[in-house]
Formats: sequence, structure tokens, C-alpha cells
Amino acid sequence: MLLRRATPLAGLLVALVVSPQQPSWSRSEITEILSRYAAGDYSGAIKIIESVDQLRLGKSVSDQLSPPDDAFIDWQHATKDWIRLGTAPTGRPRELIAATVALEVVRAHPELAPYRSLSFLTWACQIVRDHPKGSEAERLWYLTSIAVIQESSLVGLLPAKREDTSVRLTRSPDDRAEVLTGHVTHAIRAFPDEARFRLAEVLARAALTSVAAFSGARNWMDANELPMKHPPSNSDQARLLDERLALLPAIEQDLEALARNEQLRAEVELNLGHLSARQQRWDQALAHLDRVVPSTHDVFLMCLSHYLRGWVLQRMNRRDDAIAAYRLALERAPNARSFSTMLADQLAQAGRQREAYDVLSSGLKTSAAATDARTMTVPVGRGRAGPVLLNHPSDPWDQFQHGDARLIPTYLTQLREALR
Amino acid sequence: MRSSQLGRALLWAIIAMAVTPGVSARQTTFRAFADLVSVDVSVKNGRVPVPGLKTSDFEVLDNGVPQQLEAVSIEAVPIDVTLLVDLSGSVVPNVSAFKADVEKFVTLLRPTDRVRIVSFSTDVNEDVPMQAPSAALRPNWTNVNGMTSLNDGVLFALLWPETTDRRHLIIAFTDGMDTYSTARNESIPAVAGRVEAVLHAVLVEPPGPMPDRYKDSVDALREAVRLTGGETHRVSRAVDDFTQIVADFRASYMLRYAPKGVDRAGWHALTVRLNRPGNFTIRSRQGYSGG
Repeated sequence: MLLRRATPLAGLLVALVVSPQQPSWSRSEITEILSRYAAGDYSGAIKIIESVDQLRLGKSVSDQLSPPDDAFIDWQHATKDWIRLGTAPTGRPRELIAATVALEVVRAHPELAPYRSLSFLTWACQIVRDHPKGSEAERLWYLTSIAVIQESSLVGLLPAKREDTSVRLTRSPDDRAEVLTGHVTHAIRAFPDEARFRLAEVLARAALTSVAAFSGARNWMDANELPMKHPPSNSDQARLLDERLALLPAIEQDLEALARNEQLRAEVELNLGHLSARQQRWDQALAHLDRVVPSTHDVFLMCLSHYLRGWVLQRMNRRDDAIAAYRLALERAPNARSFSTMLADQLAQAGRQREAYDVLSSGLKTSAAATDARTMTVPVGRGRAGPVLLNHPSDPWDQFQHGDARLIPTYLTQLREALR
Repeated sequence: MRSSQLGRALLWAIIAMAVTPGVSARQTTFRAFADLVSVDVSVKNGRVPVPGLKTSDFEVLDNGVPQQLEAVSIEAVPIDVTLLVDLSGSVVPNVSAFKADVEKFVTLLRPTDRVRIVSFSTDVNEDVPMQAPSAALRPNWTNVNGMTSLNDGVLFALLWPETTDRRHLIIAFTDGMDTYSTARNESIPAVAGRVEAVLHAVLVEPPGPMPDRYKDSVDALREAVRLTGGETHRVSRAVDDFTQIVADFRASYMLRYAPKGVDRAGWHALTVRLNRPGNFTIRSRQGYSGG
């Protein structure tokens, strides 16, 4: 009887001895990723990165307060060894390749808790700064990294900031320094003549003035309109928001200065129009938005200017003009759910119900079909997590909230070419 | 044309359509002014619908001006039902059980009715297009998750093209907390006030206190319900809730009149009263736009 009782326990002990805890992802796996990427096998490298599932690479979304995990430590060691091997077979510096792969890791795993992504980004930025080349590849790396940050939930990483809650949540001195300095500050220091970095910095500051998180609504314009409909009741949050909103005049001034740059003018006027509309300065908003179309051939900027004009005109109760503006926006971006919904809304309120139904029906079908399959896991109701679509890439209004994220495929292509 | 002449003309028009082969009342267009205004009216004594009311029992004021009514037999007018379901995860804890409830509800509708099932979470989907009810109708729901595009879903439901030979009932099943729509909260009652559909909302209580920032969308939904003459209900069991709403809707009255003595353009506030004593609750749409 004693033997029968002891047998299961013995089995357990044996199992523990012969099956030690597995590393989160192996160093040889990391080396293979880097080597494939350096050799131009991007899809092969990314396939391996994507296969490193959440349990191996990180823990739950809520687990952001734990110290750096094995996955990141393995990454640091493996990349250090790989870089030490010398120049890549293509002749390009391995540091920049490794830094680019770090961006791919962040993109491939949107489910990573923000402060885990931050570790990879901080590491990558440090390694690029430690080996500055001033090359086109380096400039493209900064452009891409900024866009990746804008795509993620880490947009607050871009501008310099003072000590606040987010800084206190960082897990290492390096991460903390990166957050305080602001990633885009490093880009500007490395390439002071690159106007897009200056624009990114201003827009990152503008993003910090967003009050949408307090509204609970997706309709970004309603949610972000000032003065706020539902100011936070928490006094610390209210104070923080007041401090950030007080920065708006300086942000607008900096944007006005950037509007003199011919290449940036359309985008800057669009953002100035947006900020004016947020503050219910309708005439001023229209003046800015009217300058966008004549200044660009970029369909993205043009359709957004029509959309924002529609919003402003709607708020001015100029319904027919709003309908015309929304129509122009929808013509340029037929899959944009925001555009079709707002147009349908105005048509319905104009008594054109059938027309409204046709627009909305068609819009909902086409936008659902075009939805991006990239997901991240977030808590959804009653504490349960579920996959949530990051955005609808066919909707320019969604993309507007994410800066240069829409340009990531272009930047990555150019960066990879520069690294070959 | 004087009102008595207009009334006789309308009567002959209706008779002519009834006896003319191949032409049914369905093909007559009734719209405001050139035609007739339709008002769905629910009359209850407590929670029980009041049966057997006649045209003469009702008084309808259009912008304060009494109107001459023509009632249509409610039994003869089939119903289009739009079931609008919140699948965002915070509302439906068990999608399989809820799906079974919905499928059962569909089988309880009449053959002359039609049903459409629209769900929303991050997206708004017409899972089952408007069609005759059958046991084979099954929404393809496998899980619940995502954000809540309530306003967009309600807008889509409200805009269903109206026809004069059918009544449109919308049943929304949701907790009312919109987190993802493009349509503004203000738009929902604004559009609801312009359509002939009747909107009912079955509201699921959130697990904890509702944050202030979500109350606007709940309030907008409630206002839209009120403007269409519908009701807001607290959920018990989905199939029972839906079935009761349809039964009450069938027991309501459809009043029609050709507007007289009022300007065409602009908003027309409607007042519906009963010409008999009693403690009744009367619900109807609050008005319409004359264009």
C-alpha cells in the first residue's frame, strides 16, 4: 500500500527532474531570425517571430509590472552575440538590422503589454544611437520606428516628458530614460534637417491633449471636442489634462511654423484644421482645411480634409454643404465606414431616408469586408479578454489617429532595401 | 379641394384598388401630405393592451390642429421585425443559449411577417436579411467580443426603407454603452424622430455602476425609443421579452389621416389622446417632418 501511494509522487519527481523549465524562446531561434532577416528572407524571419506565442514571449496584458522577462533577456544576449560576429554578409551593419528586427517583433505582437514593447524599442534605439552612421538606412530606421510607435499604444513615448505615472511604471533605467527623453528627440538629434521628425514630435504632443479616453466614445471628434463634456472627476487626472490642454496654443504655433515647409504643408493644415475643430473654432477650421487639397496629391490627406470639412459644416448646421463634403470624402475612400456613416446620418436628417439607407448599407458591408485581421487582446466587459480589431485600415479616419502608421509598409520596404 | 371631397376621393381610391384585379392596397403610396400620415399607437391599461378601440375613440392633433382619422385594421397589416443584437461581449454571456432564444423567437412570428437580424460589436452586420420567418433562419454567431457600435447599429435599423403596407418594429437588445460608433449620440433621436418605425429597447444592466461617459449613449437610445412611441424594457429572458414586445405591437393601433389645416414644411408635433375616461398609457411617435 505504501508503494502504491508513493508511486504517483515518484512519478512527479521524475518528471520534474527530466523536464526542466523551457526558456521563453531559444537563442538559436533568435539568431536564425536575425540571420534570415539579414539575408533578405523577411517573410521567413517574420514567420518565426509570429510563431513565438504570447505564453512564450510575454505574459498577460495586465502583467506589465513584472521585471524584464526571460524573453527580452534572451533577446539581449542573442543579439549581442550575433552582432559580435561582425558585418552582415550583405556588408550592412548588424546593429541596424537587429534594431529593425526589434521593430518587427513589436509589430508582430500587438498583444504585448506596452512596457514589454517599450523594452524592445528602447533597446533598438540605444543600439542605433551607439553606432550612428548618419546613413539613409538610419534615417529610414527612425522614420519606421516612429511609425511603429504611432501604430502601437506607445505614442506617448515619442515626445519628451516630465516625470509622471507612465514613467514610474517603466522597468529599467534605460526604459525610463527613453520615455523621459522622447524617442523622436533622438531622431531629431540624429537628423536635425528631417522635417517629418519635427512634425512627428509636434503631433505626438498634440496626441497627448486627446481627451477621448474619458469620453468612452469612438467618434473621435465628439470625444475630443473642447471643452470636455465629461471632465474627469479624479482631481489628479483633471490637473494632468489641464496641463496638457494648456500646451495647445504652443502646439498650434509650432504647426504654423511647419506649414511653411512645402512638403508638409497639406498635412500640417489638415492637423491645424483638426485642432481648430476640436476647439469649436469652425471658421478657422474651414480656412485651414480649405488649404489642404490645393497643396497635395495625397488622396489620404485630401479625403480627410473633405471629411473634417463635413464635420465642421455639420456642426455649423450647414447640412447640404456637409452632405456634399462627406460625399467627396466617400468618393475618394469608398470603404471608409466613418465617411459612409456620417453621410448617411446627414442624409437621414435631411429626410432622404432611402438614400441614407443605401449609403449606410453599402458602407457597412464594404468596410467589414476590408477589415484588418490584425488583433490584440484587450479586456472586454466583465474582465474577460477577447480579440479586438486594432483598426480598419480602409478607414482613413482611423488611420489619422495613428500618424505615419499607414506608411509602415512603404518605410519598411525602403529600409529593407537600404539594409541589403 | 374641401376636406369632404378629399375624404370621398380617398374612399373611392381605396375601393377602386380593392376591386381592380392585380392592384392591391400594397401598391398605394401613402406618404405625408400628398398622401396619409401613419401613426402607430399603443394603448395600455397598466401593462395590458386595451383592445377593441375604434377610430372615434382617438383624437390626433397635428401641431395642435385636430385631424380626421382613418384607422387601418391592425390585424391586416403585417410586421417587419428588425432584431438588433449587441454581441460586444458585455451583453451576451452565452452566445449559444442566446442564439437558441433568437431562433425560437423567429419561429413564433407569423408567416406574413418578415424578420431581419442585425448584430453589432466592432462592426455592424446584417446576419439575416429581411425575409419570411422560418426555422431554418440561423444567425452565424460563434462568439461574442469586440467593441460596441450601438449608434451605428441603431441608425442602420432605423433607416430600413419603409413601405405603406407593412409596419416596422425594431427590438434592440443591448446594455446601451456605445464605445465604437461613428454616428453621434445626438443623431440617434434626431433620426428616430423622422422615421415611422417603432423602436423598443431591451436593456441589459451593466455589472457595476455605469460611468458617466457612457450615459449619453444610453440616454440617446432611450430618447429615440420615446420619440418612436416604443418602450424600454429590462431584460428577463430574451425570447420571452421579444415575444411580448411583438404581441404588444400587434395589439396596438395604426391610425392614418390626411393632414389638414397645417403647413406642410417643418416639424409636426403629434398628440394622440383617447376620447374615453380611464387610466391609460398611450405611446406613439412624437411627430414627423413634413419635408
